[in-house]
Amino acid sequence: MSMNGEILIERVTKKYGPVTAVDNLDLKIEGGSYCCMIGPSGCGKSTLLRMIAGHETLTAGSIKINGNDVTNVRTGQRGTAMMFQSYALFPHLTLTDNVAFPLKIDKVSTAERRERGHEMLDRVQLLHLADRLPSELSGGQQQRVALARALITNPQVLLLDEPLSALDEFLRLRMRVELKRLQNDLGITFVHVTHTQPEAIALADQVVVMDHGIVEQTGSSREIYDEPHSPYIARFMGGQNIISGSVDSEENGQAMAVDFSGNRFVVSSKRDVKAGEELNFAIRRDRIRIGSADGDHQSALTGIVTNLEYQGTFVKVALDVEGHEEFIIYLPDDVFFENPLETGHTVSAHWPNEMNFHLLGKNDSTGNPMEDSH
Amino acid sequence: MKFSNRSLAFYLLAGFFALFVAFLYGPMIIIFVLSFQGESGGLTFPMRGVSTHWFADLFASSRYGDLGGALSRSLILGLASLAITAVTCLFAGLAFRNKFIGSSVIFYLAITSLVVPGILLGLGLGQLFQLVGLRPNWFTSGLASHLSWTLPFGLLIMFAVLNRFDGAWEEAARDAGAKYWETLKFVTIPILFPGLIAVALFGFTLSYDELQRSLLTVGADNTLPIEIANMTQNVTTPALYAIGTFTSAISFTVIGIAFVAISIIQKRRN
Amino acid sequence: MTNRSLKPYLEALPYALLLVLIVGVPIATLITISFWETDGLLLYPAFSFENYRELFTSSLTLTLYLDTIKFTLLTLFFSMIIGFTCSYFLVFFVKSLKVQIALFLLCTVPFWTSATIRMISWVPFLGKEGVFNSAVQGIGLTDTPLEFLLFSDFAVVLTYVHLFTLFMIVPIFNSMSKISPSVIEAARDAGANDFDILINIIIPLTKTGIALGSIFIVALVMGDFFVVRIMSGGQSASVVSAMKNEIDQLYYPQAAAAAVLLIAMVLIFVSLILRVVDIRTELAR
Repeated sequence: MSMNGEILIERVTKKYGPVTAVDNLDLKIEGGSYCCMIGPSGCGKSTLLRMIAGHETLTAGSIKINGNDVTNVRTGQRGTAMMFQSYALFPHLTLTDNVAFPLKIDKVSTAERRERGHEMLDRVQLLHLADRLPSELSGGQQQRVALARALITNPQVLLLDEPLSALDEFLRLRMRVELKRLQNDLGITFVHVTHTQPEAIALADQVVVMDHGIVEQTGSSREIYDEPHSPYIARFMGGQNIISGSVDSEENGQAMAVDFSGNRFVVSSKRDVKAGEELNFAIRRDRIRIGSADGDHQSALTGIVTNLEYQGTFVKVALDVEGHEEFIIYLPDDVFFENPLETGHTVSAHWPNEMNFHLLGKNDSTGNPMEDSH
Repeated sequence: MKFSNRSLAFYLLAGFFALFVAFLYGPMIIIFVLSFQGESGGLTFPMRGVSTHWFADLFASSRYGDLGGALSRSLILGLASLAITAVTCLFAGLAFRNKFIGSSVIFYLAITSLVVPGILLGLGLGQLFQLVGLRPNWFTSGLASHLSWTLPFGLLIMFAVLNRFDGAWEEAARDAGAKYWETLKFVTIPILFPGLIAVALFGFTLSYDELQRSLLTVGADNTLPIEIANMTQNVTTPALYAIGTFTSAISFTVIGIAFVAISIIQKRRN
Repeated sequence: MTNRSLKPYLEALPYALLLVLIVGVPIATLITISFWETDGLLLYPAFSFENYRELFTSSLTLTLYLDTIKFTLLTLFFSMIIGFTCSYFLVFFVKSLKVQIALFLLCTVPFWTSATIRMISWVPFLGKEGVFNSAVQGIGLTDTPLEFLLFSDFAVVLTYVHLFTLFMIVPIFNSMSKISPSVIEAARDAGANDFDILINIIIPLTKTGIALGSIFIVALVMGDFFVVRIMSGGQSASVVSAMKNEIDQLYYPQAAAAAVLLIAMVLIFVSLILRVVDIRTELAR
């Protein structure tokens, strides 16, 4: 058994009156891993994080950390530490006293508190501000103090609630790198709640995508992005087009799918499919090319260009295809500028059949990433 | 967004405001001045010399009743109201951040206590004491009547104070292992302290100056405002102004201490 | 972990208990006694509507209520005008926040001092030989002192306005300072002048403050007996001052019935105002 912060969540339910925030959820977070929980507003990710910390009681189920059942253990005794979205620095205490606050509760002597507080501040490069009050600090500095306060008790699990959301874009990217490096150095479990997909993909060893109080899919960043479980995941994580149709015929595990406007596609599936059943599949937007298909093993569509957005390394081409939601293609900039398109053009798009990825799950919600509200 | 300064509207409004301030303080200043009336002076101008005769007269003469006793009773009641108001309103304010059964009953009872004519509540309290066989007394039924005035104000101020209090501070303290009382002692109370001073200021001054609710509840021994109210009806010398100046000085001292304390704390935090 | 959900109950308990004991039970006592009988010395438990019958058949009741309501409306009118104008000046015309807060506090400080003293401080100003009459006679506007100034209904209303206007200033100032500057800029962008802004933006957004202030003033004026007794020189009466006479004569059941009626009236007024404004959310803003 791992002793560095493995979290086992078993059949956890949280109800607020009639509202179910977390619904009979099972999840294992590997010790010493960086886990990102992501999902739209109200999906239960923050509630789950707060239950791990002990700030919310469970309606049912259990939570184990390092194999110990902590379901009824008091907050602060679980080996977890939380970093709050608002940082929650104590406005009446200096940085040293803020950082050493957990030691004060632990009845550590004043001298030792001061020494260890300074050590910790030094680690986050804020020792020179040790006697200042939080209100004198910038947002980025406040965040580092919050981090230092959370880490001073040597927790096995660090829980981060939207830690980067209050920072500007530039600082956010820099702190992202620092968080990852810190987690590598400490070797403890980080559980990080976010609503920003690139943040989750960049940081996580394990991504947990939630929706309506359940875990919709969990896996590595690459699995989540490349092999989404359902139309919801594909839409929420982005970068995919989704085509819906029904199975026309099936041979050797390969299904012939027909979309609603009569286009036929070959989709390989990991499970058996039956003729007549409904089927969703995804194609990565950056695997699609413009022009007529050459060769047999190609899928193709025709549509009208409705919008063009230059994005630097690629151009985002939006097609209006009959019977589909918006169909997007990411063309590398050099490919695009060889044969530039204009809005209103009718064009063909094609891609290799192997790119058609069967979405096994049924969750078809739009999963618009929204601001998370607490 | 400010409207154009130094316009006609500005001068008119500034003039109006100045008149209001004069209206608010002018009469008080007149009696402060008249309280230093010379020994042969009367209730109105002109001043016949300047003296502290009437202040000395207040406590030396037996004509004005037991002013010393009334003052000490009022101070004790003020301090007791301060303590009870600050403590119960702190906890009630914290509780009101959650929805709990009965919260609106308590809230509307507090509003009722605020708007019910004071002397009627005093009548009710006095009669209640009679009915259960207790003698109304300045420190029992008297204190109760003062609390009926300070507690609603205290709660309303706590609402405003807690409005700027981030519940995540308490969670951060709990996350650091603090139990309920430790969180309260190390985090909640220190952060709320300036607001608690404001609650305490209301608790003391509202009790110290309370008249209507006290009239039928203090029993045999009067508080200072009741003594003063009696004096307004039967004292025709500047001693009346002297007691006014004296009690106002106490109020202003308390207000001053509260303001200085709050601003020192605020300054230290910024 | 169940103590987490018990927590607010325990926290609110001392406050709630005190309030029930010192407000709830006394009001219940008043209601009970209002049905009792007395011979002027002792109280006799009964369930008699006699006290209420007397109250409602007496022509005096209506006169007293009309007088009290007259005082209330006059005080409301003047304190609203003063409260609104002063807040308007402080919030929108005083540039420095520090000066604004200092001037606001200047308006509120008298709240923490004795109302009795503030009331009698008008005597040397308004009296026959008072400051005002001396001044008016001094500059030759009149030969004889103006007698209506003191011990009159004028003096009563003046004192009410003097004592209670700050109850109007505080909530109006509070509402006004919460008006977002960008709302006013947007109105100006749309072509509104200062007057349009006052009528269309500031007054509607200040309504809750005015309502909150009105609650205090209604309650304070309707509950007063002392100001009306002293400042009218005994010439005017209010509902409570008449009641005080009954109390002084130990007619407790009659007084209790009158008290119950007045409390009901005040609560009706207040709940009418509360229908316009939700003070709990207003305070929490």
